[in-house]
Formats: sequence, structure tokens, C-alpha cells
Amino acid sequence: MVTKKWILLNNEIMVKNDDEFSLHKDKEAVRSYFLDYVNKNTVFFYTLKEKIDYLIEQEYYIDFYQWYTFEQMQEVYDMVYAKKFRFQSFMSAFKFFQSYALRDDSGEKFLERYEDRVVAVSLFLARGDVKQALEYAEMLINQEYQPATPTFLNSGKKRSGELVSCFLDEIGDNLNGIGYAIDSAMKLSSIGGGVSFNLSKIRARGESIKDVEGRAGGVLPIMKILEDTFSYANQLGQRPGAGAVYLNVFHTDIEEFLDCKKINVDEKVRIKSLSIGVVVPDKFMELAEKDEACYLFHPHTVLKQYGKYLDEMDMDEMYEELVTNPAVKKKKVNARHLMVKIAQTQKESGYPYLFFKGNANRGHALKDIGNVKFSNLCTEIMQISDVSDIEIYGTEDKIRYGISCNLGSLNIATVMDNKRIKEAVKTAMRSLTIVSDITNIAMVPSVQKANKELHSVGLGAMNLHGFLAKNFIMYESKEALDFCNVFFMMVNFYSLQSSMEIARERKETFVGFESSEYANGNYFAQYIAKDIVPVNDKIAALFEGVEIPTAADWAQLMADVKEHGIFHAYRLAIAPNQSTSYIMNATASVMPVVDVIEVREYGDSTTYYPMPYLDNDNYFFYKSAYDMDQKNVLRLISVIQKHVDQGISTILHTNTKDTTRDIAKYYIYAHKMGLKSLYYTRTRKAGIDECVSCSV
Amino acid sequence: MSTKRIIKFEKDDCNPCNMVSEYLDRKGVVYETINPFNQPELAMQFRVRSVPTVILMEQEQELQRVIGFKPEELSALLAS
Repeated sequence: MVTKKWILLNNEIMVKNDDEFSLHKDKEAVRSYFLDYVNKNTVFFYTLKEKIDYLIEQEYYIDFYQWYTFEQMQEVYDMVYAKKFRFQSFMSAFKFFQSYALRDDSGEKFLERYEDRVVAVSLFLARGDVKQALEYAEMLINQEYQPATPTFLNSGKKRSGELVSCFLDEIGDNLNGIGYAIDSAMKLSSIGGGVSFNLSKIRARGESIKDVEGRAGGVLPIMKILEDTFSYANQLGQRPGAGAVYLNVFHTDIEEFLDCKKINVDEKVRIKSLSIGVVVPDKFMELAEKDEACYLFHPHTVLKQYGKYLDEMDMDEMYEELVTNPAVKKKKVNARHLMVKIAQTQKESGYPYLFFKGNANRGHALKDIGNVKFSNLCTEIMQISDVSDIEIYGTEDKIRYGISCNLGSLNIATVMDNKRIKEAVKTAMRSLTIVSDITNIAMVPSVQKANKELHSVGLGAMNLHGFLAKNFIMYESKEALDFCNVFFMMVNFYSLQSSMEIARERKETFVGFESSEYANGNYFAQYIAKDIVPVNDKIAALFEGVEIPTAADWAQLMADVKEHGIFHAYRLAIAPNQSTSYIMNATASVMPVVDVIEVREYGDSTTYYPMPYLDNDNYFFYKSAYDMDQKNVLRLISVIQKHVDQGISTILHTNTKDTTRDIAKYYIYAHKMGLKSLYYTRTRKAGIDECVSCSV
Repeated sequence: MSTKRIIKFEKDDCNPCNMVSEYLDRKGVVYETINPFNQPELAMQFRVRSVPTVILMEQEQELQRVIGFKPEELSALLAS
């Protein structure tokens, strides 16, 4: 087989001249990819009118004429095409055409270029408001903001899935509750959502059913059913379903819950594709740090004694009580051993995720309304939830809050370069709000209720490391902390302001606003006390010409919020964003890069992806996450976390020589620094072949 | 008294870097080490593109450099 020309050009990146990589070859690869492949395989239309009409008539697009005249659409197309967008790397172009561009029904010809996708998304989300469509389109073509994959992929298409990425729900401790969860899992999975469940309320293996001891099967059988459900209800076979389950660390099933991820475990209990996470209350961290015994509790005996779920108790308050109450069945383990077991499981499988419940609820703006009890597939969603009471036919269910969240990410480098933080955040918030408005997951009423009443969204960010390297700032440096502190304070400010403006326009706040920390002003305390400004000259220079909200601006915002309320119960969450960051030519999320030049195998060819903005001068600013002191990474995330109401997907990068004790130390550090969760732990296998920066 | 000095750019877990160190140590050479990922400004200043890079300096003047583990070139560098 002949290797394609663009692949050969891309591979020439690695040819060294004078000890420098031939990075410019990647641009030639993009050019060839277009000339020799994309253009030849794109359906050609003589006029824009012909194209739009064809796409609508052939049922590729929805009927945009219901909202716009042809001239209005043309105005948006013209603005976007006039920007002369060019992909900055081969990998960006490749990812877009491979996964996002609309194809004809045969799957062979492209019907869209990047510009066309941007316009379709903008027209769809603006719903007839041309001015708004132009704003969306400008932000998207500037690559200042990227909606999450479901929104970017599906918007404007006649035959498509949902726009929302993320759903969560509690499972009640009875057959109706479990049945409802399985039913929800199937339906949400089939429309393309990642779904996460909290299993912590389920009675443990060996507990009583109808007061007959020893009959309950525990959480594992439910996990098995959920795993099969997700793999059955995939999205027309295009994408496998994805699910996660969380369990409280004080639940007596916790050890088998962890064991299910082991590779050498019995096939009957092994869980392969379902992701797992552990809910970790502060009390457990305290016991582990003091190296004390730790009691695990049978949740059903707790419920019978106190009329309250173990998972909903404040363990700082209740732990001793549960230990001393003889009616509560328990099991004694060593806290530190259990923590090492968690680390060991992570080392072997990357799982479990950790959800630090205390941190997630400290400063939680809806704390008088409810608690954050668990998280999602990527550990960045943190919202209130409450278990529904599902009844038999003929009796009305009591539906409470599930969680629904749609996501998107700012591109830090482009919003900084264009000095458009305010505009991008506000426009992004509008577009996320529209997605929430038009989402109606009627088949899962708890999720529908949450979306209808709370309107939660999750605005995140990507390209942090790329932006820092481009400006010759080290990711682990004090300057990086300074930058993040100011930048994310601004994102917080403008997202709140935007939420207030939307509430003012619509005369509607999220349900429960009056009881929130936004309404009583507590939320604003850290901001009105003193100005947040860059302390470092280099960082101050980056913000030159940008207006940074002052303490007085925050005080004004506090007053506006008190008067008008805010529309969204939750606004910010930083997702890991994998594929969308490639298209944006951005480093993923706020995490450090893993390689300076990423090597990717696609079928029979190898492609190289130099990190965004890499040149031969700034090469060493792209230090690998695996070479960093993880405490420096956690410290940076903790600074960002102060300004983010939900969570941040944080990956630990470890080396084979790191012991489980080292990993456990990172847990303790992350918890101390106020992180709300830890996502995967990845381990680099030692090998010399992988060293791109080494000369042999 | 010689005013020459040797700077070696290196990183952890890099085999060729270790081989260069072994070579220099065996010859009893004194040298400074810099990890360019920790001090990228210095790497920029010396236009270092990969590791290991050994540079022979006299005052602020670069006399010679060897990139990678190349015993003959290293031996020539030490002889000059």
C-alpha cells in the first residue's frame, strides 16, 4: 500500500536538520490533505443557495428557512468565510474531517467544511436571531470557544442525537428505584449521554431484604446489569454507551467494588467498561492520615436506625455515633490500607476516580438546598441530587433532582490574544443556555426536572499549557499560578454577570435562588474583600489592554445578583476535552501536555502531532506531565478551583517507580489543597523509544 | 589556569544522557548539568534542541558542542 502524501509530509516533521525538527512540514501536510483528499471528496455546489437548499431538501439539515431568509444566512456564511480559517496542524484537520464534518449518506463525500459546521451550529443555536448567530459564528471561527462534542456534532442536523453530554442520577434502595435507574441508563445512553449513578444508597451484600437476613446481593450485581445496559443501548452502533458508578468509601461493599476492576479477578465479578468512582468524605481522609482503624457500615442498618441514608450523613458528625451504635452492622478495616488499596487499583487500572465530598460541599453555593453527593464520568460535574421515590403503577412517583449538564470550553490562548475574555464568556454562556433550553429529556423525569429548574451548564477551558508555553512561561511556575488566579476569576465574574443578565431579561431565576449563597451575598465575600490583579510583571503584560474586574465591580455584581437573581444554578466545570482540543489546536483542558510531539497510530499509518504553538525555541516549555512534580500540578489546579463552582477533571501522571504510597500522598495533598476530585491516574511505562527530545 | 567549562544539558530517564555522563565521569571531567525542561530559558539561550547536548565554553564563547552520545566527538571536544 502506498502511504498517502499528507502522511509522508506529516512524518517529515521528525526529520532533524541542525538538531531542529522540521515542524513547518506539518503545514505542508495540511495543504496536501486538502488538495489531495478533502477537496476531491467534497460535494461541489455552484452557489450557496444551491448548497443550503440541497442540505435541507435532502434532510441533512433542519429547515433553517423557518428562522432565516436566505440573505440572512448568507450574511453569516460570508462573515465566516471572510475570516479565511486555516487548520494549524494536520491532526486538527484530520480530526475534524474524520469525526465531525457532515458526510453524505454513503459516507464517502463531505458535505461540510469547518466553516460550514460553524455556521450550522450558529444558525441552529441562535434560533432566528441573526445578530446572535453572527456573534456565535465569530466566536467559533475565531476558535475562542468550543461546544462539547454532542453540541458541535449534532447542531443543525435533521437526523441527529441530543446536544447534552452528561447525565447523573441517584439510585433508590428498592427494586422500583433500581429499575428506574436501569431504564434511565438505557434511554440516556441511546441518545448519546454519558451517565453516572450513585450506588451508595444500595444496601450491601448480605444485608436483609424484608427483614430476612443475608438476602441482599449488594452493588456488584447492579453494576453488572448497568454495564450490559450501556453496551446494549449504544448510539446506533456508532459510539459505545458510557457509564460510571460511584460508591461511598464507608459502604461495606467498597472492597469488592474496587476489586471488580482488577485484571486478574474472576470473570463473573469483573467490570470492564463501566467506570468507577469512590465518594470520599473528609472523615476517611482524617482516619487515613492518622493511620487509624476505619469502620465500614451496612447502609441498610444505618437507614433503619436513623431514617437517613449513610451517604447523606455528615460523617464528621455521625461517624463515632455509628461506630458505637450496636444496631448498626459494621466491618473494621485499616483506613490507610484501604487507601493504599485504592491507589493499587488505580495503578493497575487507572480507576477509581475520587470524589472529595467535603471539598465539593465547602463553599457550595446551594448548600442550604442540598448536598453534592457524587460526580460524573469525567469528575467535573458537581451538583445537588436527591433520590426519587419510584412507586408502583397507579401511584404517583416523587421525582426529585437528577443532574443534567451541557458543556463547552473556552480556548485560553485565543481569548487572551484577541483580548475577548468578556465577550467570549458571555457569548459562550448564551449558547450553553440555549442548549439547556432546547433540551427536554422527558423520558427521564428526574433529569428533566433538574434541567427545567436549575438550567445548569458547565463552561470550562482548554489550551492552558499551550498558552503558557507560547508565552515562555513554565506550567509549574509561580507566574502560571498568577495567571490562572486572574484569568479564572474573570471567567467566574463574566459567567455570573451573564447569568444575572439572562435572569433579568427573562425575569426568571433557577429554582431555589433565594436560599442560595448568591442571594445572601456570602458567595461574593472572597471577591469584594480585595482586588485580584496580576502580581507578576510578565503576567500583568499579558493582561495589558484588558479590563480586570475590581472588588468594586464585584460589589456591584453582588447587588445586581441580589436584585435580579441568576439563571443557572451551576455555571463552570472544566472537562478533560479530548477530541475537541485537537480541532481547536489546543492542549487539552487545564492539564499539562504528555508529549512534546504526540505519536498516534491510525490503522497502518503513524501520524505526529506537535503540541500547539510548538517551535524550536519554546520546545522545553512543553515539559511532560510525567516529568512534573504532581504537587505542582495539583497546586495550580487548586488555584483554578477557587474560581470554579463545580469541579475540574484532574489527571495524576505517575511513573512506574512511584509506589502506591506515593500515590496515596498525592490524594492527601489534593484533598488538603481543596481539590474536589481526581480523575484517572495514568502511569508511564519506562522506555527509551518514547523519548522524542533525546538524541541518540 | 583554564577558563574553559563544560555544560551538559540532560534529563532524567534518558539513556543517551546517562551514557554521556558515564563517559565524562570515566575521564574524570568536571561539568555542570542543566535540565532544559526545568530551565528552558537557558536552553533557549544556548539554542539547545535536544538532550544530551554537551557544550564546551570559554568565558562566554562557545567552542564546540556535541549532540547525542558520540564518543569520538566527545573525545575531540575534551582534547581541545
